[in-house]
Amino acid sequence: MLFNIVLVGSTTERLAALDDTLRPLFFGLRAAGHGVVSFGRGFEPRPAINIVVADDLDGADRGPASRARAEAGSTACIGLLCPDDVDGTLAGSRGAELRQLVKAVDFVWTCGPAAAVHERQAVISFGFDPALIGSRIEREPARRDGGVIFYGEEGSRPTLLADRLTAGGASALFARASHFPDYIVGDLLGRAGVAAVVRRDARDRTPPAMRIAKAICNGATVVAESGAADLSLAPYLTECAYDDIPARCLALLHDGAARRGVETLERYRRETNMADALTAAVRVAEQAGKGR
Amino acid sequence: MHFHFQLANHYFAGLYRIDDIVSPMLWGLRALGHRVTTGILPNLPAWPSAVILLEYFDRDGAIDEIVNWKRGAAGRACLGLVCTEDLNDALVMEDPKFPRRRKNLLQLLPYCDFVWTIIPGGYEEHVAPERLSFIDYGYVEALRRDGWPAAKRDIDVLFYATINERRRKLYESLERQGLRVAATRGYLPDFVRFNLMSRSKIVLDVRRGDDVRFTSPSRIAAALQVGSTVVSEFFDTSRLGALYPYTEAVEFAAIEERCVALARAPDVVERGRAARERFKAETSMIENLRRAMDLPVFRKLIADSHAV
Repeated sequence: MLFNIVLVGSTTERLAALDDTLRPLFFGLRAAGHGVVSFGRGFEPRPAINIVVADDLDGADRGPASRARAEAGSTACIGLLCPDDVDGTLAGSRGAELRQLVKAVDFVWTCGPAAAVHERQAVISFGFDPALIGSRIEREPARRDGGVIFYGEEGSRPTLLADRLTAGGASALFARASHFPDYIVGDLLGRAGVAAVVRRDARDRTPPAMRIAKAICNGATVVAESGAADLSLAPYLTECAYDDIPARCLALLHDGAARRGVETLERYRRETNMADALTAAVRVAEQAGKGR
Repeated sequence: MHFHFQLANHYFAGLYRIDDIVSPMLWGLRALGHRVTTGILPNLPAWPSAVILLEYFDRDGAIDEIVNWKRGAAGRACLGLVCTEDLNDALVMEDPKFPRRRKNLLQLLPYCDFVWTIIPGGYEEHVAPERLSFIDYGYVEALRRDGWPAAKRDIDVLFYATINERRRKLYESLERQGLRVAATRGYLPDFVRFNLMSRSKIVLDVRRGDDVRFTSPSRIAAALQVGSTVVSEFFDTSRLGALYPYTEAVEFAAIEERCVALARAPDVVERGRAARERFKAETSMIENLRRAMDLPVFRKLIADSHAV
């Protein structure tokens, strides 16, 4: 199948922020034997599967729900990729917009367990692919001197934790794909002792899976906020409650975090596969492709 | 030894734009056995680490922090600067949006233990020869990528650049010729850029203005690493012209005709692959960096690194 990821209307910042979602998708689909256009300039007719990203369609001009369908034509197959936590989005100011948007598409992909919003809906799981492994992983524990990296969106929730970590004597930095290109993100995560991933919003069901996967692929020991047990990545991280994260990070920094992250990556490499992780999502897309 | 590329002076999109400049250096230095880190550190590493900045100091006070760091280290700090622009290019150095750029650069140069320049842009007038090296771009294995099979290439011509008025006219002319044209527009994630290049029959290297004196060695090298057939605008008579033999170099007025002919040529993809193999056989980023490190400061740094 040909997957056409339509991003031509995206802003630079948005494209960068989507890196952690689109990169595994791109390489996973390719590894599964599909053709992938990573930067589609327009919609392709069936049998191609067009993928649009929820946040890219919020133009005020014609309304997000109708825009993709109008541009694609009535017969094209369109899937909606939701990079942000669907439950959190539904509970927030954009909930009504998301509900409208899903009516215009043929299937929905979410990046974690989510409330059902479409009859054809699947979770994108994450797994290992050689192309996703960090190119700058520091394997010498003494040189993993990057402290704790809060990997994900900035905001008051991670900032409060970072302040507590700094007060505890650890260095805490923020990083995410929309701050830096991959050659810098990889370098920061590849030298981190611990990567902490928290929920973007307290109403989110899980912390963002794509950030966790990125950190694992860069050999960082991952501490993730509660909710991560619902993800397929659970065996490769330490889950704890929000308030416990600073103490847990400090304990891990003092107890072999630098070595543990690299060992976890090796296990992740042996036990997971990005192409297989997309099986359910591809099946839903295939059904949608035949369905109209 | 340890090199740290401190990139705090670059704005968001700028960090994407400099990827093609920085990455060959990072991987070349790593291939030489050095430890290389990048990012924005609050505390810079001391001697015998070398802290490298990429020139772009656009505002008042942009160099204060680094100058204070250098002054305060009492000789136990090594500062290097990579210069990517022509000091005499008014389009860049006298851009009214960045009125301090040239002045800041000239003020910082005396504090630098070494200066690496990638274009012959007049730096020898401001930097002593024992602190100045030129870095030619060459092949580096770590950045090799392979494009799509010829039959699957769905883009005829890719502008590997932002699109300004000069390039837009050419873009539209090529479209009128029936070619499928696309542009990276300067700042895409690397895997998207590689994907676009992989899908293209031709990657276009066109300067942004008629008065630009030097071609972009990092752009040409990036496209060659992917095995692209590169059509370069032929205008540069400096040492950077050494990259033209790996491209289909023609003057601006002939680019449209050249692209049309190449896009229809059955061997267009093979040409790029053959050019990359010649680029690999005849150039080496590792050797170029080894030469760039042939300065007194590196002999001291390496000796002290071994002593640590």
